[in-house]
Formats: sequence, C-alpha cells, structure tokens
Amino acid sequence: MMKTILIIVVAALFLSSCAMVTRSPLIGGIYTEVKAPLTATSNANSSKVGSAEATSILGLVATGDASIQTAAKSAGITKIHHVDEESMSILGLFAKYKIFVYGE
Amino acid sequence: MVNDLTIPKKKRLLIASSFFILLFASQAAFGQKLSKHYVSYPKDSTILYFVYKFGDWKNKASHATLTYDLTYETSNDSLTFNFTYADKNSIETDSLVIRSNDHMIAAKTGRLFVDIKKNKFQYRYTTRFPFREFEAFFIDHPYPVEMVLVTHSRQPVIMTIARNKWDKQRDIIHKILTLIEMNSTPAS
Repeated sequence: MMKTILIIVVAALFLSSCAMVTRSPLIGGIYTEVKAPLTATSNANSSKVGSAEATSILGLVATGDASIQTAAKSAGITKIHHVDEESMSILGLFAKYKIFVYGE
Repeated sequence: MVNDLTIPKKKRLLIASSFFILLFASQAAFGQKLSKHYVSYPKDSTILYFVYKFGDWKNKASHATLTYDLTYETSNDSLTFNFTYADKNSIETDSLVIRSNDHMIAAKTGRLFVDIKKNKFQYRYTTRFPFREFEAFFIDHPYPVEMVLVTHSRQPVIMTIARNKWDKQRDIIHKILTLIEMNSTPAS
C-alpha cells in the first residue's frame, strides 16, 4: 500500500513538472516541434531576421529571453514585419521556445 | 490451470531499456533533420533564409567565444553574417577575417550593440560576405578554418573550432547553402 502511494506521489511530482511549451498550438506528449505565426504588422519590408530563445529542463529550471525586443535587437531590426514562433519539447524533459522576428 | 502473466524482473528491465534506447535513437534521427537548423520565408519573388546560430568557436588564451547566424535573401549575391563575441576584455572590432590554408575572406564589421552577461562583454556585430566566397569554406574544405577578429586596440583575436565540431557544422551549413542555391536557380 505504501509503495503504491509512493509511486503515485512520485509520478504526480514528475508529471506536474514537465518541461512543456504551453504557447504551442499543438503539443506532442513524446515529441513536439511546431512552427507557428505569432503576430504581423502593417510594415512593408523584411530583409533581416533575428531570433531569441528560452529553454526549460525537466520543467524545474527555465531560463532565457525569448522576447521580441531581444530578437529584433539581435539583427538590428527597427521596423518589425512579422513574428513567428517555434516550440520544441522532448518527453517533457527538455523544452525550447524560439521566436523569429522579421523586419528591416 | 492459471497462466502466470507477470513479466520477470529481468525482462521488464530489458523492455524498459529497449524503450529508452529506441527513444534516444529516434531523437538522434530528429537531430539529423536539416529543417531544425533554418527557417525560410518567401516574399515577392525571393526567399529569405535564416540559419540558426552556430557556436563552438573559441579563443584558447582569453576564453572568448563566438556564435554566428546567417541571413540570406535569394535576390542578393551576399549574405549577412551576424555574430556574438563574448570576452571579459573590452574590444573594438574593425573587421572579421575567415581563413583556411588556401582561402580567405574579410569584411568590415558593424556593431549592433554591447551587453554584459556572466561577467563577459557580449558584442553583437553584423557583416556581409559574398555568398559564393563564404560557401567555399563549407564545400569539402580542409581543416583548420579560423575566424580572426581584427581590432583597433589589441592583437587580432583568433577564434578556432575543434575538428569534430567543424566537420559537423560544415556538413549542416553546406547542405543548407546547397539547398538555398538550388531554390535560387529557376527550374529548367
């Protein structure tokens, strides 16, 4: 009986702290790799691309800066055309969230 | 007669380890996927490509590191090479040289910004190289290839990469550049 309770507690602990990207439009339990649009503006041109990312390990530690501002800054973009996002996760053990800013 | 349906402990262990081996093998296969290294965006009559950052370039003496990403629009004959140089020392870069035994390209760098992370200055620079000249480094090129940061105030900073990491990086970038080239040429 005690063993069963222990298993349930450990399983609950692990399942509640999965490394998942909750923004993704689709989530795969085993593997996720999804690209999707985030936003678009009325600006006309895009000749530069910048990216930024954040990662999560075991759902316990999440670090990074996946802000639009950081991605735009990384490519010297001052006028944003549109923004795409990409989410990737493996078994809830490792997850990565990236954004791509297009502009000029 | 009742059949004993319980799986022996050894067999259970074998099944579990097989599952994880298969899982990691499938992840390794995913790792080979070229599409996870770049994105493309069609606009008007051209395609804009963005190759994700590659790292592993180091200066052994100063422990400085360099990562870079590539942006290329198929209507242009040059690509944008944006790079982040992390160093404890302050530095003002003038130009970037990529060289090997028999090939060299150089271009002026433009600074995008400077940050400080983990006690290191993070310099973000942009530069442009002719597509064909840059591609030449990735077509079965002999090792070693070096990146040299030419500075105003200090000796040039030589960035190197380990042989196995270069081979992997070269293979991926070569495939992406080939793909870009094929998509740039109109089908006959």
